Amino acid sequence: MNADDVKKMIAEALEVDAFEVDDDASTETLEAWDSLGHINVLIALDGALDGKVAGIEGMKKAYSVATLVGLLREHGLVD
Amino acid sequence: MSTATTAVAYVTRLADGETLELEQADGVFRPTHTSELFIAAARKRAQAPARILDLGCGSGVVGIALARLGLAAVPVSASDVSASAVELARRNAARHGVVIDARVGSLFSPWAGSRFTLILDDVSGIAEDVARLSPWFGATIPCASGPDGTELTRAVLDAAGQYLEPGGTLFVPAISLSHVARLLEAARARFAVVDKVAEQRWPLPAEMAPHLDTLRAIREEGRITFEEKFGMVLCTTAVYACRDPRESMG
Repeated sequence: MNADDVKKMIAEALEVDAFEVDDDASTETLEAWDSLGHINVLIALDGALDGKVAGIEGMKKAYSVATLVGLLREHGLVD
Repeated sequence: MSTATTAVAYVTRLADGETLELEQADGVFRPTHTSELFIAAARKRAQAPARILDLGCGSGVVGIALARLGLAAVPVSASDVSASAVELARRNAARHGVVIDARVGSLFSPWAGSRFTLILDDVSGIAEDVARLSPWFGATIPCASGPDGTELTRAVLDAAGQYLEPGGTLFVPAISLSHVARLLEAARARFAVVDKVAEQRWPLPAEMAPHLDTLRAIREEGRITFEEKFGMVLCTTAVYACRDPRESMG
């Protein structure tokens, strides 16, 4: 999985068009990325990554593409 | 009867930036994720203005939202066991220009002889002792959903076939703070088709965090479920569309 896959997954979880989730996307830029939307994002990522996301500290407050991808990369889950 | 109105209104998104602002009142159930999911599910399923019944209407959010979206024929039918809720639903409907037939009564008792295309069951659906620990019910809002949270919903499932038009649909919520498996068993016993049409996980309200050990104990008993992941306690609400009631509804 790479950063583009993560962005695509975020878009699907938030039910928005893929182009809306760019490198700068965050809870500040996307109305759909609210608190419930964030849970949908985490659940989607966790499902795709065999449950390895649930235990990563910081995911709860990873409210941007950059932070999410950074955390996943730190844990060797994203190229 | 006059209802004390709270200062804070409830706002839900409808579509394309349009919002629906509703007056709330002390002692009347405040809309939650369940109401939002009902609106989303009905938007996916309803093809044309339907004759709807908002059962357990509270402030009237579901019926009024569907009417505003052009999915509910008027008058919108709505009922609640709470007279204060019915009064509030009437006020909110008037505020939004929605014609409503709102009645006071338990479950289907106000609707003898009526039939609906779409029935939305928004009655209390979480275990009673959990409800009393929650910020949603407090001490004054009625909640007689029983120890596993399914009693009212199962009563709705038992009777709904008599109130649905042919081809009609009953929407019921399955909230993980109730015994979902028991509820679905009852749904499948009463309806030939039971489809999940919407689902949302949501965090346990902060007000319930001090009761987490109690909730874990209730989970151990098998009466409720919730997940603990991402550093959060997550509950789930799903909405099921029930169609084709079976014969012998009892």
